[in-house]
Amino acid sequence: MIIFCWHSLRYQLKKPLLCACLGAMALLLCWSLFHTAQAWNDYVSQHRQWDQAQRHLWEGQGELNPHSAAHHGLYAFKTWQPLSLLEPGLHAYLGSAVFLEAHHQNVGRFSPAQDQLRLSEVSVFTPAALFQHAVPLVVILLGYGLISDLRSQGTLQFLMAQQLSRSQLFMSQVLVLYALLLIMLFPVGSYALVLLMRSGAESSVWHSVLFAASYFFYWGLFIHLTLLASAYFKQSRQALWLMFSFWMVNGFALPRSLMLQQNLPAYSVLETQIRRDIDVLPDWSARTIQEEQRLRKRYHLGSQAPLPVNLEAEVLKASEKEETAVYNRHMQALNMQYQKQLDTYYRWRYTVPFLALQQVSQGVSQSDFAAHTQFLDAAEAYRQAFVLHLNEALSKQTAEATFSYTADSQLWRSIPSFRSPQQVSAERIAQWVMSGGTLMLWWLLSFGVIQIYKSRYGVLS
Amino acid sequence: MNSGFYFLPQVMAVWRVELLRLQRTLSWSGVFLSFFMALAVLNGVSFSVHQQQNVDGLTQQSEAWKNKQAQQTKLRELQLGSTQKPLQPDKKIYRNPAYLANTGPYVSYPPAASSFLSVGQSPLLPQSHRVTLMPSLLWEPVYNIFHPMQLWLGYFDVTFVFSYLFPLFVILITLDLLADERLNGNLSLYATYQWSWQKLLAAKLILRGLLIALLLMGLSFEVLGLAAFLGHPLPLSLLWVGFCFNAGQALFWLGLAACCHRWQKQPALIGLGLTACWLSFAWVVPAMVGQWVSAYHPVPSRFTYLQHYRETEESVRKQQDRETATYLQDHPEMQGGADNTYAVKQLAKAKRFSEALAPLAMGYQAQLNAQLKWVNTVRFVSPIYGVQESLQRLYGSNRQRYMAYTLQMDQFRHAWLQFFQPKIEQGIALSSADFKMFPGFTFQEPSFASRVTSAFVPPLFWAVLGMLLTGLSLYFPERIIKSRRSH
Repeated sequence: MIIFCWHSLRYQLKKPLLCACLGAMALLLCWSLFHTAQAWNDYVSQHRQWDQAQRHLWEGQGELNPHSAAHHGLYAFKTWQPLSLLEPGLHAYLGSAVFLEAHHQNVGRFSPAQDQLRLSEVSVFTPAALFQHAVPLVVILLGYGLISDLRSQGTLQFLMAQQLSRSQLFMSQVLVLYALLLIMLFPVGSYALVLLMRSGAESSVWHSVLFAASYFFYWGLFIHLTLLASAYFKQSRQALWLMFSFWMVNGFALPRSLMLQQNLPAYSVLETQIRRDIDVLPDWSARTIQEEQRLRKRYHLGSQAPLPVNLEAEVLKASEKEETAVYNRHMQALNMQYQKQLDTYYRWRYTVPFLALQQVSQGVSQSDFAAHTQFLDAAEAYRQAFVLHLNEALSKQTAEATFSYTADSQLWRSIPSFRSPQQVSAERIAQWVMSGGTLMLWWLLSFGVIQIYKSRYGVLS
Repeated sequence: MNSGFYFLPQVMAVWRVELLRLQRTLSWSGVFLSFFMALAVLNGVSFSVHQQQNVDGLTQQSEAWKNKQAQQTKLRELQLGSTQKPLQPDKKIYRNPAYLANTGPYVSYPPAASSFLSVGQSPLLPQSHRVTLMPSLLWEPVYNIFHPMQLWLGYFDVTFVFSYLFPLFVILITLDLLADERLNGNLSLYATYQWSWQKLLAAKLILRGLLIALLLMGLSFEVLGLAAFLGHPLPLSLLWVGFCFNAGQALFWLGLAACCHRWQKQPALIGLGLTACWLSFAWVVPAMVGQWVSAYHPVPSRFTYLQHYRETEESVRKQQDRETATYLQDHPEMQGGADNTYAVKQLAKAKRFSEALAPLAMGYQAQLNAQLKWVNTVRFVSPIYGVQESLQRLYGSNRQRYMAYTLQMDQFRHAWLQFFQPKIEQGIALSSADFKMFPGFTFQEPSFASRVTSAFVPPLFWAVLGMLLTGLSLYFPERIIKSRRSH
């Protein structure tokens, strides 16, 4: 069987059209990896540079009132993980930075897609998109005629006469397709490996393994299905159209139909709701009275006795806390709507293999929506901590000096730099494993169908 | 004369056989396309409603902002018993022209009435800008809320169905034009009836052309009906122009299929070739050109812009007095008369920001324009992109419409400054009557004729090319092919 397999492979590689197809695909993959890697490198190096420049500005802002400094604000930048070299996922559509300031919780800004022209509505042109759509298509084009052509050309009878069993013949064609796939992916695989090693992906070896395994199962599924179709249909054209329809429905039609426009609030509606809730909060004078009463009660002081703390700083802290609560409520509601839509979308991953692959691919590359939410949550926690720290600095002053007091660089330096979260929650890992497992099940199932099919029916006769 | 007499019944007979053969393909394709079309219309309408909701909300906010300031001013006027006052005795900020000019209303980019047919890149474009004293390029953009996954996947709209899915249907029904007949030996049978393969191919192409036109018409009327039902009625003219654009693309695919059948004998290879062409035109060519163009004309990084902004902000804060003095030196008209310290500070700040950031913003715009110039050529490289772009222009969701908005935004800025500048210079507070005279912004939609004029060339180009290919496949001399093969 191995000899036959080897000869089949050599025979396939002698076809000029097939070689051109493999070569073109390998070139396309390398081209897209080159461009994505360049964008990734630009982002990472600039990110480091801007992070330092922003820190320098923050520390060098001179003498300033701490609350003014809180209004002046800081930027938190999102870190891109090494695997997003291959799978930039939603990075382009989510903000790369978030502005952190007193009284406001902002959303992500500067999404790269806003500055790009997307000419094709089919998909983006990244290595992962090519892995997800173009490689399966090439598998279909390579495999749709492997068995049906043998039958229609009459080669099959000749091969049977060479004491080659049907099972061996079928398996050898499966192996030929895997080998062709390997040949096609070898250049881009080596290139990707070098880039990943350079970018420090050693720290996420398990992520890379899960990433590679998921793609292997996905492509394997296409190999098995294509050969099944090739064996089932007498005309190779029918096999091609069945597989092409599956490719189209699985990769484009169903995912798009599942992610239709949902009831997300319009920006102006959300802003109005937040503004209305904030306007309901007590104003400065009302809050001052409230806070004074609370503090007097807390410290058991009479109405004339001086307060042991800075009342105005306490008012600032209380208002910050309540405004944060308003923002949190609305932002969480928005995120829940996003998540609900995603949950409905990914619920179909058991029936649409592309969705399972997409979830693992974007998940392990940390370029999915969950990773962005984690970044925003971390940035918000940081914002609350830094604004509180600055308000605490005011608490040490007298009430009269609250807004005239100016702090120096010592205070600015005491605020640590923002670090983008690196830890991944167990819940998210479970989701990836579940999707990876679904792909493996699909792969095993299709392999099982091949075994049953070739033993029960005279598919090759 | 005899052959002409017998030709029509023969054609009808061929068509009857062909219709029987295509019956299943046609009915299934029709069902799927109608389903996808309905889904696309529903999706597009919810997108359009979402965009309109945002614009309405922002307009209301702007109105509320203006009314609030006007109301406060009115109360103040009653309190003071006078309408016109210099700023100095009346320091209320809501009457200060510099404050009002710098924290102005939103100007909005409304969705076109037919934008639900083509979403395009609209979700990635700002829908509104907040008016300030700075150049319009630096006004803060406002984006609507969309699910990032939806943006990544791309929108499922009517243009997507017509530009991307419809060609697949054309490919599907042109798979058995000639190659199958040749393979099954039917060509010799036809020859006994004095039917050349050219006649057969022409008859088959005409039938398919008619079927495509019928299906296109049916889908267009489905869109029309659904749109009217969902409260978005469309003019018939728009529908017809859209129909012609799609028919242009269909003609190209028919011509290409005819060529494939003329020169290739294996049906599977024809399917393979047409599919590969579809993939190249739909994805590979536009995406590669897009990547190349963005590498050749890279837009400045947004972070560089941010860095400049922060540095300018810091320098303005630290050197405010010096900046103000410099401004007064450059603008002596602001020195005399009323005390307008706030106005001078705001104007000086705006000037400083403009000097620091406008070159960057203009550089960004210049690069984007250069990219667009290159991208326009893709319309003649890929029929799918060409027709998609034309449909987007027709339905009002393309970049050109947005650029028209930015131009109008700039014109509005001039009107805005013209209104406030004299008041700022004279240092007088606004009266409640002034609020009624605030310049308003309404987006002037490009005319239907201009949209059609800018959009019709690519579909026409592809239709002509399709007809040329058909003619070539029908009338290319057989001898040349034979001699080439023998050679």
